Order: sequence, then structure tokens, then C-alpha cells
Amino acid sequence: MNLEERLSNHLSQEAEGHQLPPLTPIDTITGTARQRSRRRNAAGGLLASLALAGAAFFGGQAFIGDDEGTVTVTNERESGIDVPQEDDVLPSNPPTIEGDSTVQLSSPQRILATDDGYVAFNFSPAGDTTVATSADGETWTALPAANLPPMIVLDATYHEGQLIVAGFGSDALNSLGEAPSPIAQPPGVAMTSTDLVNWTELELPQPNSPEGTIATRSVLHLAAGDPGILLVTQLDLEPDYSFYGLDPETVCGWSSAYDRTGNLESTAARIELCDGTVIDIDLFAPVMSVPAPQLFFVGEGREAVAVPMPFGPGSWVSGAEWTGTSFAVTGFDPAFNGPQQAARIAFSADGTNFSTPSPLEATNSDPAEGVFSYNGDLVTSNGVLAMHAGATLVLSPDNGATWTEIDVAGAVGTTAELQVIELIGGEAGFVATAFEGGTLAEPVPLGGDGRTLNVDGYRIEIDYRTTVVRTPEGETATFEPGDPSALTERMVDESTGIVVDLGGIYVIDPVTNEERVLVPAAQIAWSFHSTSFGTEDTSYSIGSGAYSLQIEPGMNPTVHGPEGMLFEFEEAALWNADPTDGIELIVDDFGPYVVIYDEQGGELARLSLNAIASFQSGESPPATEGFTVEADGYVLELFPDESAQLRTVDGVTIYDWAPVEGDGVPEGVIVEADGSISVLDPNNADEVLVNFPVELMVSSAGTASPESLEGGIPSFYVLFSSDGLNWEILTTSSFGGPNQVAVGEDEVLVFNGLSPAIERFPVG
Amino acid sequence: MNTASRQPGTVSVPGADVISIRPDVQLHERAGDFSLFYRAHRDSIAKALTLTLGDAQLASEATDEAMTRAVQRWAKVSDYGNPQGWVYRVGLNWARSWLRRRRRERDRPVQFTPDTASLDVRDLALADALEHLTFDHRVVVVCRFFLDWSVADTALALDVPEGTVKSRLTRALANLRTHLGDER
Repeated sequence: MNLEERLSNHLSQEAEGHQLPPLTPIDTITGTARQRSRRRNAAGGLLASLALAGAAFFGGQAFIGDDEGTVTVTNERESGIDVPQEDDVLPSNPPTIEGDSTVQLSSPQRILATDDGYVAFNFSPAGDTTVATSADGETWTALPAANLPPMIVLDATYHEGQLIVAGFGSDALNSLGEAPSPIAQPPGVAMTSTDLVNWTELELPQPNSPEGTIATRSVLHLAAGDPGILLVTQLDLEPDYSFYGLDPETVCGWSSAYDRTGNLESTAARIELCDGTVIDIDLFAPVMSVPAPQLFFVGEGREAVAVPMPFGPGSWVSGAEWTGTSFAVTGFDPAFNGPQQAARIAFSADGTNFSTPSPLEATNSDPAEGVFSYNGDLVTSNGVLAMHAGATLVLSPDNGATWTEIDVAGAVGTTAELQVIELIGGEAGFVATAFEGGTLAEPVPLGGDGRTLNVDGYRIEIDYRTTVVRTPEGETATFEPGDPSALTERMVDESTGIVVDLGGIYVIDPVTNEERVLVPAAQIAWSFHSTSFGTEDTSYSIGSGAYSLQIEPGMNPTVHGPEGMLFEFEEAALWNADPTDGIELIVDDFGPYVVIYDEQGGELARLSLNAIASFQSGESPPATEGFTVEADGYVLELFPDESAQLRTVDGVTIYDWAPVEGDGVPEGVIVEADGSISVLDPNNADEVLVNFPVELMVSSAGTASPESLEGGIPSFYVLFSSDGLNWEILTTSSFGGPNQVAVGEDEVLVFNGLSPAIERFPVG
Repeated sequence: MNTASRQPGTVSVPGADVISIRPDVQLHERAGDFSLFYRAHRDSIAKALTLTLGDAQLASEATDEAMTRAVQRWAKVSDYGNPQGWVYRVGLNWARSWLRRRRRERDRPVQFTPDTASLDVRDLALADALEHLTFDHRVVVVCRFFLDWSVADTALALDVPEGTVKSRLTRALANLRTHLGDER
């Protein structure tokens, strides 16, 4: 029996020896597929509304769904379809499960200091979710699956022994974290726990929705203080499928087109059934009109009460914070591009009475701009309020009465141009994370499903990074606000009079020169990035074949494919986690790299981030520079023109390959998945003549001079201040940057973005 | 390849009917009957993934995941030249992705070593040699000698050039022979 026969027999025998789990019912497979399709169709709108709020969920990182639009909250494998499993349906009073659950907390997305140490959240949509606790910040123990809150957690806060989490609820989560909700968007939920075992839901009033629609409430911000918990919520509307005689289980998605002429608003909805049928309906409610945020306060043992919005109609609430004596909320009026506002809401100690929200005014700042033109969230530490914007901070030691502006670089005594991208407050003081170089915060549109709006005869198509406005006369104005300079200033199309800025989309009347709002920004998916990347004179484009990774000053890194941009990294997500199933960041012994997958999950391209550090701006990646590798007595030389030569080490030419079109690898030369190169025998293509191992490729590519590492690799700073006025540098890194920081009672934890190493800095 | 001991394109499953796993049997399934496809191929794909991954539970989940993605795109997938190959590859990629994440999070190497200790494996020398194959080599060996796919079908399923399949097979077999004492 030859080897091939032995293999066939052996593999068949081995296959039969494995005990496969029972066949999953096909109904389960098809049912899961239907639910995923629905969620995917709904995910864009959901994410847009989250980002619109300027929500600093988890350090300002945008929440990125996987290709199914779901987030996992289990630390079990994330597949398995909807087969009921022990952990799927959480008991109302789950027991604590003991066991070896020590975890390596390599990419936490939120760390809260507690009375007993720390609690960290890792809820990567592409990976496992863990909630872990640690007494010392180094050894972390994962919360048993049965003790996880039965919800998809998006935000969390801690106050006096109580952990409060907010996100989206579900009655049962399968091992994919898929909530079998009959509607696309699960309702928002907030829960509290004092023991990380039992979770109590904060009951909010059931939202009323216009006939023919269903409203779901999302919790956008959390703040917890002595009197109780303040929740900032938002309502989202979608068609009530049952109202239209449809079984929600048969619906796989919907879209809407809004129309307003004068004061008449209407919305046409298109419902897509899973069998491909499309149903157009007129909604009674103008779904486009996103209801204003609502504030609720929940005192201990009391029902939630509504709190008046502190800002004017149409304003948005961008943050909430307990200042030690009262709640402060921040917001802005998107329709008029107004400055950020803040207001204080004081509650009685028992949480039963609250003051009318009063504005927090800057008394020593430029009145023309106002201190709250700053984009950062309001944070507090020991009664000091602080906000950040680019290179500066503003501080108020007296709860908003007076404000002081701090130049961060000057405060730490460096000449570097620092841009603060995150500021957090804790018991020991403030921690700021900053990049060296870059430009000011730039708003860019959020990716996702495009929208089409018809307003007063104008047709507005808002797509990924592009806004196209067609006037009633048929003229077209196209805006690409992805340009870094685009939205720091107004964008005006002179020929049509269309204006796009932070406040929304306007049209200028050619006669009166008055501006009229077509679409306020609150109804457009704008997202605010609080950082930038690189320095002003560097630009990178690293690629293989038709794919490239581009890092440009002031822009988020982007991945481009043959047909244009595929993906834009959030600057933090780039270093943290798998951004999506289609594009994945992998960190292994060879360093970080980005892998692009096709629809079937096969690798399309592999882009080395280390290459960024190896080549100066504008230089070509190694594949186009050519290189020589040697193994087993053979030398393979790949030339810049994509020709190649195989020869012996003695110089005897074995084969010459002519330049080729296409992927840049001559026929007969195979770049294997592991990075090694095989050369097929020119006389017998079925045989491999020589294989050049991947180690040779690594050494070949790693020949860049040290000088080339300079000039563009961002430096990351972690800064600390106990009072907001005096700052020190805790640590810097030249590549990767901090993943997450936490402020404890007398120490600061810094998680590095590229390794699971934790740095601890005693402070205070 | 010699498959004289079995019917071409089939595997013998004790106690069960012969299951056809040739890619060409899907021709009559293009009418869109996913359930037929599922019943015909789910088991063989799960077994192939088990052999590749060495983990029956992971393989089963990967198969379910791939089948779910297949039904979402069935109109398209059913038109592919080798839909079983598509499902196998999607399951393989999903499992590898999961293993990668697991490896990073747990900071420990993941072995693609089948748990053969509990199996009634008669050819222990070959089982041991197979454990020394790289993942990619193991994949082509399973496709070629368990799923009985041709080089062209394997290339189609894995979305790699036929030359790559050939080179991997050549190297895999050479590796096996080395571990088996260079027998031919």
C-alpha cells in the first residue's frame, strides 16, 4: 500500500473515531441566518445614533460591529448557532461559579477603579467578552459566564460599591452573543450590581411611539453619584411590522426615505422580507426626526423620574458626570453649530428632588467662544472639573465657577506638540493620553448604511464619507468631508449655495443670503474623532498587490482595496482589537499586521504594520524594491520590475522569469501563506525545487536604516496630574501607544496597546 | 492518487449508506435546495474539519457557522463550482480566526494536534507523521485524501492557485515520508 492509500484509509478511520456533536437542525441554521441578516441591516442606524451622541464609549473608541452586526458577551466560543446551551439563558439569580478563570487582560476597553481594586471590560465584537476583576491590577479573574449581566454592555461606571452597566438587553444570548429578539434593535438596558453576581435592572418608563412604529430606548450615558444614577437615553423608531400584518420573524431589514416640504414631514419605509420581497409603506410618523435625548434619574429604591433637558430644543447631550456635589451634563445644539454647553443638576441627598438645570458658565474665558467649545467630555477628580481639546485643557477647581486654561505640553515641560485624545478622572487625579504631533480634532462622517433624504425639493444622499446634494434645479454639489480640512471649516459649494458644516446641511438663499437648514447635523451620522495621527509632513502607503494601508497626517489609518477604501480604523482600535471580521489586526511574534479577508474569510492580503516603521514616507514596500534570498544552495532574486531569477550559489542560472502583470509574483514562484517562498521545478511544475523559509523574508525586509524610523512614528504620552494644574509624564512609547489606562486610589495602570504588559505607576 | 480501495468520490462510513462527497454531485442541487445540500455534506465537512483541526467540537461549530453563512448567500454559493469547498474553507477560516484570537488572549500556543489517544488508530506511525505537518499542509492532505478532491477542486475550495496546492502536497508528502522513514 503506498502512502496515498495509507492516507486515505487512515483519515477515514480517524474521522470515524471522532465523536461529532449531534447534527444541528437545519431550522436552527436558517433561523440564525435570518436573525443575522436583520441585525446587519439594523446595525448601521444603531451605530450611527450611538456615534452621533458623541458618546465616549470606552475611551472614545467607536463601537465597531463584526460582519454580522453583533457583539458577543460570552466568554465561550462565539459560534454554535442557536442551540440552547447551559449558559444561554441566564437564571434570574445566578450562582457564582468557582474555577480557574484567571485571564490575561491584554486589550481591556474599560477599566474602573473600585473599592476592592479594579473591574475591566473587554467586549470586542470580534472576540470573547470578559468582565474581569483584579485586586492588584496584575492578576485578573474573569467573571464566570453565568454571572455576566444578561445584556450587551456598552458603558459602565462605578460609585461607592455599585457597578452600573448600560447597553442592550436580551432575554437569551447564544454562544454567538446573538439576541433572538424579534425586532432588529434590542431595547436599551441599564443594570446595577453590588456583588457582580446579582444584577438589577433599572426600570425606565416604556416609551410611547406613534402608531405603526415601535420605539426602543438606548442608554447613551451613565453617571452615578451619591443621590443615585443619572441616565441619558435616546429613542429610536422603526416600523411595527405586526401593525402592517407582517411576522417580524420574516423581516430581514428596512430602510427609510424622509421627505419634508415646508412643515410637512413624511417618511416612506421600505421593508425587506427575508424571502426577498420588498414592501413599501408610508409611516405615520416622520422617523427621521430623531427624538431628543431624555434624562432620567433613579434614586436608590425609587422609580425612574424624568429630568428636564438642560439645553434648548434639538440639543444633544454628549456626556454626564458626577462632580462630587452634583451632576453635570454637557451638550450642544447641532442645528446651529453652537458651542458645547454644560449644565449642573443638583439632587437632594435622598434623590427625591432636583434643581432646575442651571448652566455652567465660563467666567474667565473668551465669551465669544465659551469654554465649552471644547469637544472633550467633562470629567472630574476630587471636585475639579476638566475638559480637553487638542493641546489644551480647561479646569475649574470650583465646580464651574471659574475656569483656567492649561497648555499640556508646557505643563509637562516638553517642546513636543502634544494633542490630548483622552482624559479621565479618578480618585488619585487626572490621567491624559496624548499623541505627539498631528492636528486638532476633526469630525468625519461615520461609515455605515447611506441615507437618502428629500427636503424641500433637495435630494440629499449621505453615503460613506461623501454627501451629495441635488438641488431642485438638478445641480449637484458633492462634499467629501473625509478631507482633514473639510469640517474644521465650513464647506460651501458656490454654484449651488449648499453648505455643509458641523451643524448640518444648509442652503443659502441667493436673494436674501439667508441660510436655511435642510438637515441638521443631529440627523446625519457624524462622528467626532478626538485625535489625529502622525506629523504634518509624513504620509505612508504600505501595500501588497492591490491592497494598501495608508496612514496620513490627521487621518485615521485606512485600508484600500482595488475598488477604493475598504476600512477606516479608529485610531485606538487599530492598536487594540480585531476591527472587523473582514479586516483583522493580528499581533504575534512577528509584530502587528493587518489581514484582509474576502467574503469567505480567505486571506486577500497581509499588510505589515512593521513596514511602516521600516520605510520612509513615499518609499515603496519591499516587494517592489526587490530582494535576494538564499537557501539550500539556491539563490532567488526578485527584481523591482517583478521579474525573477533562480540560480545556484555558484552563479549558474537555473531559470529566468520575465516581468508579469498581476500580483507581482512570477509564475512558478509561490508566496506561501506562511510567508515563505517556494520555487517549482521549471522542468516539472509538480515538484518544489526549493523553499525559502519565512525567516529569510523577514530578514530581507528588515534592512531599513535606523534613520528611516524617524519622522512620523507617533509618540504616545501618558500624563498624570493630581490637581489638573501640575502635570508629569508617566510613560511614553514610540509605537503602539497605550491601550487603556485606569486611575486607582494611589496608582495608575497603563495597558500597552501591543502587548499584554501592564505598567503600574504609583501616584499621589 | 490511488483510491482503488474505495468507490471513486466516496467515503465508506460503517453502518451508513455511502455518502457522496464529490463536488460534481452538487450540480443537481443548484435549484436552491439548501436543505438537500446540508444533509448531504454537513457531516463530511464536519469530519474533514475535525481531521484538519483536531477538535471535533470546534469543527462542528465551524461547520455550523459556515453553513449559516452559506444559507445567507445560497443563491450565490450554490452557483459556485465547489460549494462544499466554499463551506469547508469558510469553516476553516472561521476556526483559524477563533484559534488565533484564542492564542492571543490565552498567550499559549494552539496545537493542531488531533486527540488520537482515545481513537482506535491502527496506523500510529502515520498518525504521528501527520501531527508534524503544518496547518496548510494538513489542509491539502485532508482535501486530497479524505475529501477526495482533485488538485483543481482543492485549489478552487481553498482559493489558491493549483500550483500552490501541488507544492503543498509535494512538501506534505515529502514531510510525511521523512517522518515515516523515507519509505516510498
